[in-house]
Amino acid sequence: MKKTYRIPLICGLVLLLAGIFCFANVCRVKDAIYDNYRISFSDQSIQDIFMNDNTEPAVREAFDEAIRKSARTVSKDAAAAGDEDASMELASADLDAAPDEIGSLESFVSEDVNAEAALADAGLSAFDTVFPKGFPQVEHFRIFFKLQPWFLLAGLAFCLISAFMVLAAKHLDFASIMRSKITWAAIAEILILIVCLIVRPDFFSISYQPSTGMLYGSLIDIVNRSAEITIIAMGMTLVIALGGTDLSVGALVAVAGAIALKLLRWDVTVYNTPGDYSVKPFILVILLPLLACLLMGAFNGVLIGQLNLQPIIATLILMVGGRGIAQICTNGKQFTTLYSPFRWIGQGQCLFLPTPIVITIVVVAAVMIFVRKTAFGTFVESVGINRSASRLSGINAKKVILIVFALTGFLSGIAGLIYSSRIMSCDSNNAGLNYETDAILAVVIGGTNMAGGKFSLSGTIIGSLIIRTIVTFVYYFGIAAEATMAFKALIIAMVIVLQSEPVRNWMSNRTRRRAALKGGENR
Amino acid sequence: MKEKTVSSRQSLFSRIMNPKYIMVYATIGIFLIIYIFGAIMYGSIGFTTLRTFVNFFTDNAYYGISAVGMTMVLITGGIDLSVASVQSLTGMLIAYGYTELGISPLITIPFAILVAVGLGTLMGAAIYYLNVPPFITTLTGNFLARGVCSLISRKSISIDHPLINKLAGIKFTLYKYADGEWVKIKPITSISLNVVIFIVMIIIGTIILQHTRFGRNVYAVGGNEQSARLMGLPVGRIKISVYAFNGFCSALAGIAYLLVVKSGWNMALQGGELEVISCAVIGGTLLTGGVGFMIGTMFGVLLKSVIPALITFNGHLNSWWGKIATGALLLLFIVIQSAVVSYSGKQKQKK
Repeated sequence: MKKTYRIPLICGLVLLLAGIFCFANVCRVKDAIYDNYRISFSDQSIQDIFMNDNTEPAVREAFDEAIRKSARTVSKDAAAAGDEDASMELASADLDAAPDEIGSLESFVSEDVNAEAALADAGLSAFDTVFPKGFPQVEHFRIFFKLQPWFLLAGLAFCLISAFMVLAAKHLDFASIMRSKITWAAIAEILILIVCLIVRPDFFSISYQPSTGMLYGSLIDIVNRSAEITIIAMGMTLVIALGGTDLSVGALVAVAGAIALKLLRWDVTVYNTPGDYSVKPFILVILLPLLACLLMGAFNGVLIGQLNLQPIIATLILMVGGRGIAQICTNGKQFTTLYSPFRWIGQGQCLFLPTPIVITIVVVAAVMIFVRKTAFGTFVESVGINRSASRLSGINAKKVILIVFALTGFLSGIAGLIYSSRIMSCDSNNAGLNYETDAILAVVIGGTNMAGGKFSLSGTIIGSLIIRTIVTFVYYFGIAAEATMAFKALIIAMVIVLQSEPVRNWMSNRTRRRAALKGGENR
Repeated sequence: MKEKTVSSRQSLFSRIMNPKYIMVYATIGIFLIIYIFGAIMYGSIGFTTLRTFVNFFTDNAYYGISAVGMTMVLITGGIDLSVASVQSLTGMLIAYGYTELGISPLITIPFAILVAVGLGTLMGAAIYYLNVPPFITTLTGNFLARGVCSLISRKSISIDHPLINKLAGIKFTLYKYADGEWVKIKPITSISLNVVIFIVMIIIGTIILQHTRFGRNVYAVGGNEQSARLMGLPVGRIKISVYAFNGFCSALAGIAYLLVVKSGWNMALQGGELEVISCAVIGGTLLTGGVGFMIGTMFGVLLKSVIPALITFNGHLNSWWGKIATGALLLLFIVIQSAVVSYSGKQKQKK
């Protein structure tokens, strides 16, 4: 009975999310059109033409056509560059169409915008007015727009059902839910996303690009870009559950990229000439870097498990030395490649999604099955809580440590391949820079205790998403990229304070006390 | 006074041969081995001159100054990952303050120190009161300092102020006594202000750790926090003041770095925090807390300078060999450390 309320809750959240998607997509297309009106206004040349004399139907036609044309360009991508292009196109189209036509179009346009806004408020009927027929972007979303209220209603209904089930459950321990760190991490992520949604209603929009066969959108981008950290953090969770940390992952990312690129450009000695690969078969280019990273992870594992060294220091060796090894692999040079199968790893599409997302899902599923469906996760927790006790109960702690660190090395290798495939080159100095801190942060935000013991892989995924959401938030809203760090610090500080023991105890005590009070009244 | 009578009972030899110093001796020994190796290989091209030796101090003086505070933090069982970005922030505050805003360094230097100490105090308080792991707290501090630094400016800002120039120009030239008169040592060897600060800070750190009640409290907290609390030591105050002191050291190191480069840059000293930590660890400080000596840290810093010097004197090796050599050296050290720790553990069990 305990977990049954989860199913309607999840259904409700998914449906709500779907509703928000539709809302966001509609907002996005609408915004694109409005933006164009605004841009066309601010454009000096257009104003010059239209401010002088009376309106003529021909001008109006030309103007409308130009706006439609540019709106199509803009709605493909809401990036600032796109907007500029569109306005340029708009301006030129207009000038071509009506070089000597002149009119006071200002009032006409503003009236038009107002009318459309009013119509948009009116609801469904406005949709056809706002979006002209044959507008390619719109055709996809017409059906979504119609379904949106139903999605929202159904989502709310499911959430209410789950809430009732929660309230009706006898053994409800609300305090323990409030005490759980994952709850707070999820709340933080939802808060950040809500802020994003408020600032930009189209933040959740997702569109389909037929030319690449991929889905585009901020959310997809967040998941896509968090792939490396998520993959590494899977291993890092286990490492931290053992009571250690692995600082070498960033260097291993560099090593994997360096080896892969060296294999791709085996016989090339000329600096920086893009070309095809030269090691056949291609699978070696994938396997050898992974093998190297596995071995380096195992090296960490041997140092920590067999020689009993402190994990921070033991992995510091490879953190410092690893980048040196990466530079030796490429002889200090930077190789670039254009080989398309390699490009597919980081930039290709698979099942309508960017490949890194699919790789991440596979890796996460594999790790979760390995950890939770076998006894291995329990072994890790037991070694993390008390190593000698677990040894006495028959667990081979050294082997567990070796496997965990080797696995982390292997996962860093996968992340390294994705990274180097994204940039199609290797960069021994900057590849994977600060990945170790990001991965550790993801794990800790996800609710795994640094002291070791119990761990939560799903929490880690949320943590990794939080980190990437912050970065996307900063980029997306045009805040200087340099401020990312400060933003990160502020939000992480918030999450940490929320998650810290005194605060959680206070919250759970409060709810418990309240529950006790209520119980007293009932009796 | 009581302390003196206790220590005077032991003979000098047994005090020196105390097994708790063994890591420091290992560090000094390896430094000497590497130095002698360098002297044999490159003695003819000037490796053995005093100037080269002084340069070991000069090269990494700012890391050394920061390592003083770091050693204390590590002895309490904590860690501070924010030092490098605080250094960068200090430099940025001073450079930006003068070059862009026209505020004299006389005001900005105390202000920067205040900021660093305040951040340290804040992190210490978060670690003690909120019970957040030091690693995470100081990592957040690292992001915060680096982020604020980047918000101020993302360009490298140079500073050209008489005071800074004067401080950077201070040099104590070394003389030697020969043939009845003082003559300059050839090649001319001079000690810059950074080295003086470094050595003074090492001495201050040694005095604090070895000869004050506060220092003993630091060791006690690092050895076993639970017992320290039960003994009635003010654990919170000790921890917070250690982090505040580390903030002060970072600010000082930032000023020293500013004197070297004469500019503030938001990405300066990236990854420097681990350099500082590895200096302390090479010097025999245990990350688990309770063990560590300032003098070991000093030799840790020297070791960090010797390897690049060897590579420079060789002239054929690429810079990445320095990274690998540093990694190998770390490996060597921690293996010795663990051997020593397990050996002394076995000795205790025998007793």
